[in-house]
Amino acid sequence: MLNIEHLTLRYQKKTVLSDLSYSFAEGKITAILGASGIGKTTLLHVISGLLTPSEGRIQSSYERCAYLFQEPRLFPWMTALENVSAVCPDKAKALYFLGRLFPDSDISALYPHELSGGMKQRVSIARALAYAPDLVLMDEPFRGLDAETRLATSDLVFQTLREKTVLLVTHDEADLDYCDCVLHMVGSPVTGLESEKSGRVSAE
Amino acid sequence: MTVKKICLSVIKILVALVFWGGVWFAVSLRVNSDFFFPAPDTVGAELWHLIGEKSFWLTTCTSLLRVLWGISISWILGTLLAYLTASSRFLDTILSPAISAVKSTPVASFIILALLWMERGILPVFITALIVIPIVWANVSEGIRSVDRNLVEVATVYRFSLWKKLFRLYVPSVVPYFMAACKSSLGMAWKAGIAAEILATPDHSIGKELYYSKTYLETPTLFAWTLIVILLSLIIEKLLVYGLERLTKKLRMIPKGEAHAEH
Repeated sequence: MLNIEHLTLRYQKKTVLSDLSYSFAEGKITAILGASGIGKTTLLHVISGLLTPSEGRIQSSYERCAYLFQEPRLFPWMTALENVSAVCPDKAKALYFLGRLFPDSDISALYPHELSGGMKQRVSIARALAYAPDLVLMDEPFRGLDAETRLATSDLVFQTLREKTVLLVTHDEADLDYCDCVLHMVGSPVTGLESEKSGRVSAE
Repeated sequence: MTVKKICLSVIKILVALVFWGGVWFAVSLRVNSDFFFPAPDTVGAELWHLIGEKSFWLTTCTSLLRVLWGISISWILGTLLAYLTASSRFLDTILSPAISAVKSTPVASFIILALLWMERGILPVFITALIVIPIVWANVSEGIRSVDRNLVEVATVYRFSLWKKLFRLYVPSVVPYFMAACKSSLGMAWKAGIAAEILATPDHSIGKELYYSKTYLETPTLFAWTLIVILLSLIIEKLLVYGLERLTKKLRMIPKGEAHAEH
């Protein structure tokens, strides 16, 4: 269960979200769309607990939340494997997800400054998947990946997260094929989430 | 470090030593008085004589221990103060001006005051710590302030325990700043410690030997002890920095290629 109730968020003297309420579908992948700067990332930050709502509340039954930020956010002093293991003590599992994300090369012993932007992003995806989350927040998670890698990665991610509750902020229409539900942020400040019908067309 | 690099740095040091030794010798020839400016060979002979005496080793080791003791206290207290001022605005308001005031106060003022308060033997330890604490505090505070907020958010979302946050996030972020503080404070610690010994003249101390050399107008002895202080300072600095770098690398706290970050 993930409900937001009368959520208002004022950030740096500006109201970003105003009296927003919504119940997100459990075990479904929900895309959140909206113009740049409207408050999509802010909403994910509030749901993850990184920002405290000015008013209203969030009801969540999920204990383990993974967040794929727009940037990889890897610890520079840890290798790729250590970055994944930092959230998943089971080393075999961490290696498994790194292997799935990097089927052609072993980058587990490399440090972030030895990886390209796209590779770092994939390590952060491996970290999120290895965490075994109940709820996954994704903020343009495939940014910086080339078309081929992007397709392979999104297939892997959404297959792995089947039956999990996923909120996906994206500007890429290709990602919508994987989604059960598409929501548009409306109003300025945001006052509602409007849904549009969407069928799952993923490769699963 | 390759053999070629080691040879090159040894040659560099030798060239500098020969050059400055030559300058020293030339000036001493010009002055032509061991009382005002003793020649290198006179100082060398005095140094050799000192090293042969049992009391030399006791004096040197006691002074060394006092300074090392002061440095250790300052590293612990400086880091603790940095943590306190970074974590509480109230403590920052109270402590920051006091630490800044200590930083700006002349060492001699503290030494004279401390002479009234404590035993002569402890005074150099106290003064060394007092002088180094603000340097460690300033650097470690800067390190804590520079911790990447984005990584703090990652640690929050993935529910890192306090222990994990400390050792996986804060310590690795602060270590380069702490190392910079250690490097820049070692020389200062020696100077402050020896200055305190000169004024307090505790038993078995280099400072006392320097003071007596001055009092009895034994300029070659004064030069010899000063050389010992310089040599010890260089050796201790190299050893401590090497040891700390090895330790931090072993603990994988610093990424490859960033172990020598200077701030």
